[in-house]
Amino acid sequence: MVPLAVEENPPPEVVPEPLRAPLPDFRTVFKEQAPFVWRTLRYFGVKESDLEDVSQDVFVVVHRRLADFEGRSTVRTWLYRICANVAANYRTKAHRRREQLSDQVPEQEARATQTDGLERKQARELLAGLLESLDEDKRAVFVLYEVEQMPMPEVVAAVGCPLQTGYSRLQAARKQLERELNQMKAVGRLR
Amino acid sequence: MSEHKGRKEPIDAMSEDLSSLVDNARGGDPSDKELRGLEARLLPLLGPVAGGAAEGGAAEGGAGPAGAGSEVGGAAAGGKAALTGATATGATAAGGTALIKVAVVATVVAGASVALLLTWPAPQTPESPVEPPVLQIPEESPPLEEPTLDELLEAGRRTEAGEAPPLEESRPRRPRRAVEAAGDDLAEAELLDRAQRVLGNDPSKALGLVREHAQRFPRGKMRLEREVLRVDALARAGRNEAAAEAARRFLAQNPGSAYQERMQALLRANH
Repeated sequence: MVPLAVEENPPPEVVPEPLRAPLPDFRTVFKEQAPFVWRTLRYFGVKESDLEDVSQDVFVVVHRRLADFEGRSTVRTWLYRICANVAANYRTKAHRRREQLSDQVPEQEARATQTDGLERKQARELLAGLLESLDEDKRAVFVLYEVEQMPMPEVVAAVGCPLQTGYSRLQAARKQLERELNQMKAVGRLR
Repeated sequence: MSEHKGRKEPIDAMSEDLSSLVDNARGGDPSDKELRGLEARLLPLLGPVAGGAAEGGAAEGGAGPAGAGSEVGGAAAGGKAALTGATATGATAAGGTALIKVAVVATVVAGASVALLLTWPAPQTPESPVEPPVLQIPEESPPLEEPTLDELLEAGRRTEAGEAPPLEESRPRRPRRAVEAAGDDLAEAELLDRAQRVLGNDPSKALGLVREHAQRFPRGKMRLEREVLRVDALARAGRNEAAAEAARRFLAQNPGSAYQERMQALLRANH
C-alpha cells in the first residue's frame, strides 16, 4: 500500500496565455498522457517492474484532483508535479519493495527487452542512474527539457522558477552529468 | 525532435557523450500491453458512471499485495478449457490416460474448493454463478500435485506409447508458468475491459463477464476493480439489494482501498 499523502500546492505562477488549456476529462488525460507519466516516473527512479503500479497511483491522484486543475499550467506540467510527489513517496518505500520484488526480476527483464532494443534499455538505465545524483530541481529541468523536449517556458512553469533560473539549472545539470559520465569512462565502467 | 536541436540556448551545449546518451534513452513508452494493463486497473475511474467520485485515502495495491498477483499461474488463459490445458500439458487426451486424469482432477478440485472458500467467499446473492465448479482451476493450485500430475500422465503415456516421450515435452512446467502468468494478466485486463464497455448498455452482460472473471481469476490482480464493476452492474440492472450486499462485502474485505469512497457512494445511491 502506498499512502498517497501527496501535497499538491503548486506555486501561483502565471502561465503565458498560449499554454493555457481547457479543462480535460479524466479519460482524455489518461489516453493522452499515460506514456508521459510512465516515462517521467522512470526518470524519478521508479523501477521498470513498478511502473505500472506507480502509474496507477498517479492516475488515482489525477482523478481525485482533476477538478482542482484550473488550467493555470499545462496538463503535463501539472502531471509532472503529481508524478514527482508520487515517485518521492515511492522512493521512500523502495527498499521494502525491493525485498518483495527480488524474485520477480527475470520477468521484468524479459518485458523490457521485448519492447525495444537492449541498447536503448541500457541507455535508459544508465541515465536514470546518473539522474539520481542530481537534486530534485536540476533533475526536473533536465528531464523535461532534454529528455521530454519541452520548451523552456513550459519547463519553468512546471518546476515553478523564472526562465533564467531554468537555464542555469539546466547548465548545472549538464555539467554534473558530464562529469559523472567522464568519471565512469575513466574507471572503465563505460566503453 | 529536431526542433529541439534548433532551439536557442543561452548556455553551453551538451557534450557529445551526454547528448547521445540522452538521444538513446529518449522514448521508452509503455508497450500496448502495458498500457492496456494500466487502463484495466483504472477502469473504475475511467468508467461511464456519472458523478463517480472515486477518491481514496490510500492507493490500492501500490506495491505490496500486487506482487502476489503475478504469482498467478496454473490457470491457462483458455478459461474453462484450462483444466485440460494445465493438467495434460500438451498430451492429447487419449483413452488410456483419461482415467488417470479424472482421478487427479478430483483431487485438484477437492483441494481447490476448500482454498476458494477460505479466501474468497462465494457470493451469497442470487446472482451466484450456477456453472458447476468442476471446471474451475484455482489460480493457486496446490504446488504439491504438479509433479505428481506430470508423473501420472507421464506414466499413462508411456504405457500407452510403449516408450518415453522426449525429455523437453515432459518438463515444460516452470517456463510455462511464467508465460501463462503474463498471459493471465492480459486475459484479466481484457475481460474487465469488455465488461466495462457493455456496462452502460447491457449491465446483465457486464455482470456475466464479471462472474467469468471471478471464476477464472478469483485472486487476480484486478479483483478489486472487478468487484467495483460488479456493484455498478448490479445497480444498473436494478438489483439494488444484491448491489448493496456486494458493496458491503467489498468494504468489509478491503478496508482503506482506493475504491472505498466510490463503493460508499454506490451504496448511498442505492438506498
